[in-house]
Amino acid sequence: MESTSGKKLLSRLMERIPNRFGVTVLLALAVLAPFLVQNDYYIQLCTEILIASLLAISLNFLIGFTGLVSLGHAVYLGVGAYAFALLTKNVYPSMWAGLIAAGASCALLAWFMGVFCVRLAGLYFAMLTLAFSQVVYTVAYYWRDVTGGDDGMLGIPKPEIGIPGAFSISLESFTNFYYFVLIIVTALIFLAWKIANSPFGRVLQAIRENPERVEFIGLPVHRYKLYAFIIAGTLGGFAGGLYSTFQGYISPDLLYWTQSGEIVLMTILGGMYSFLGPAFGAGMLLFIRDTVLNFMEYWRIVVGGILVLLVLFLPGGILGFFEEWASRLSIGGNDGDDTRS
Amino acid sequence: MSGLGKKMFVAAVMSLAIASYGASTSFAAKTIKIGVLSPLTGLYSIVGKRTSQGINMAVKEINDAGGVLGHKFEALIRDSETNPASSVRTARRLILRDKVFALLGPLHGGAAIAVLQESKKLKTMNFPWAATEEINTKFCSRYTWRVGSSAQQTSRAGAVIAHRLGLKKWATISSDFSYGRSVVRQFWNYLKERDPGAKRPYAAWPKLGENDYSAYINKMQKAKPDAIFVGLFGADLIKFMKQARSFGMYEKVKIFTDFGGNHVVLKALGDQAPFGHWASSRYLHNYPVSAGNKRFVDNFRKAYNVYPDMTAGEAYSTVHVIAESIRRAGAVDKEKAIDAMGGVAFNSPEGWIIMRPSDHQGWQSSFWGVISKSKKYPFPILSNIQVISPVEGSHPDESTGQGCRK
Repeated sequence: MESTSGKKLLSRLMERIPNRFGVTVLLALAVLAPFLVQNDYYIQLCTEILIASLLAISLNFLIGFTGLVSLGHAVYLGVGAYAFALLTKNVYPSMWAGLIAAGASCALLAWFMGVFCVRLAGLYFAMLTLAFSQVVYTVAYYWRDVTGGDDGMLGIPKPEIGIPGAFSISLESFTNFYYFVLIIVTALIFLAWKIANSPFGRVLQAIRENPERVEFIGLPVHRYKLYAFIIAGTLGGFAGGLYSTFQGYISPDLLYWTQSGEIVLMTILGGMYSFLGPAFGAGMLLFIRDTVLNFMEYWRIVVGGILVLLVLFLPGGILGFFEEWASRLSIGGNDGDDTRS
Repeated sequence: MSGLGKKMFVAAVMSLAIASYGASTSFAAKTIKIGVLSPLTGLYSIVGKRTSQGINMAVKEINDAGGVLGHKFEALIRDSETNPASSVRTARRLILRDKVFALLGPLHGGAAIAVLQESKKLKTMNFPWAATEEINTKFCSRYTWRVGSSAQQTSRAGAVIAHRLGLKKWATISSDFSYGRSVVRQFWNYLKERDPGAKRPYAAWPKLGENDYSAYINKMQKAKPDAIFVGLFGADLIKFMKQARSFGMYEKVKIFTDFGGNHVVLKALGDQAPFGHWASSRYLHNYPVSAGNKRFVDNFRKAYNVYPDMTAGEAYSTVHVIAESIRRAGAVDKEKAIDAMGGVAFNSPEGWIIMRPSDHQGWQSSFWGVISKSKKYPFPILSNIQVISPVEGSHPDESTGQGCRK
């Protein structure tokens, strides 16, 4: 009996605050991270994980929410990064202008690509996104005068932020830059979460489950898909801008299809049917790479092995699994399946 | 429910596996850590292993002799993947987390330039393997040094030989990135300087990692040059050579390859090597025939059962030069060792290398030779070796290295 009441208590906890509790802990950890790790290297690894989280969540807007598997998402990482670099290096060294340029250029690109892509579904959609991204890669590779070709672009600044004349904060220190990225990424992820849980977001999920039925209701499926495509691209562009200033160096590799594959990997690893799953996957992928690289160069084998295990045993991804597990507990061990979203 | 149990079991096993990968860095009291970015995977992986072997051998020699100022050397060798992003990431980890004294590598020209910006910011001396000349000029800093020959030294030396042979009409091919452009630019400009009548009707710039060179080879043949200069590196060079051979290029033109004299390339090409054609290598196991080189080759073979290639020789010398700079400085101090670096002289297996204070480049002779079969070795070697002095190979004046003072 005691175990049942314990279960009930746990289930009530899970019911009430599964998300809020988890998110609060996560945020607290993120805010305290620089004090916990106490090493510049790990602070900047955390920074990279934050940026990758935003990128993976932006892709999940297509994969998890709308059911569109894009294999060209690196195009936004790359274009956002180049937009930031070109603007801050050649025109005006401002962090905000750079980030806006990154987001805006990707919104435009996503709109243009989306017009063609969203008419297709499944494999054709995947192939067209891949093709578009490879075209952009080729342009970046061969347009040496602007992009630096294969050598990439160097010396991308971290412009200070603040109000001219009043105050300014230098982002050169690893900790300052970490908090800056934390604020931007949290704000954008929150925005994405709001969109995902709005009526608009529900329509996207309905499209994922059954596009024909949504069409019959009288909703313009293509237009909804296009909006999702633009939102995903814009968020990806912001991640690209942040990545550009974070690394201080970019090359066309960012646009290559293997990079797109890596973002898909993050999403699947963490769980595409869970909102924060992709962020979790991004953190795991970067963490595994970092630790495995210390003693052998074949980190991809380890990641690949884990992925195989995942697909076989935890098809919902790691965070997806835990969320499912928690919600099963909360409904008393019933194998219910309405836990997505 | 049993399904859930199985899932939990798998999750537990996986989290254990991940947890067991925790950091396991050793913290010996008196060690000087050398971080190495070596291309262990990817396009340049054919030389990655030899680079690591050269490093390990030098570290062992230094430690067997009692270390430097009471400190042992320790090499942390990491993969650079022939990829700028991962090179930069790994460089940061080595400097910030592992607190290395010096950073060696990477080999990819673009990655090297990205990494040297990082090592400058994080105030750690960096010895790129990449031979791009911009490392000594435009991008040079107090923290950037190079022990191995630069692209400028070997390709200018190639131009000296090309001029001697009186070859007039040229085609060039090289990868479209900083090192690839640098090799050809240095060769061609120096040849034009010596022979204003030289002509180049065709210059090919395939992308790094190109697999099919037939279109370029076709255009080369249409241009009907007397000779071609090949600036390709690593696996690209081997692919190109095999394809050029199938097009009959070996019989039609004289071929000059900047990297083609490297032992691992000649060994990989074997019977398909361009015999009778000219190639260079920044280090040769069969030249100079000196006691120092023989000792190095013998020890290397004893340790690894293979011959040292160009990158092994360079990597070996680089570690010794760092040790020498610390001895000269009289203290295990990053900045003091840099102050002492200019003017360090090291009697390397290939002969004396002197670290030039102006452009931070190791002054040394360059070697070109003819690819030949050998009775002594079961693989092709360079023979008829021509030694070009560093005076002809290097920047003509001290002013070019002004960027290094920053």
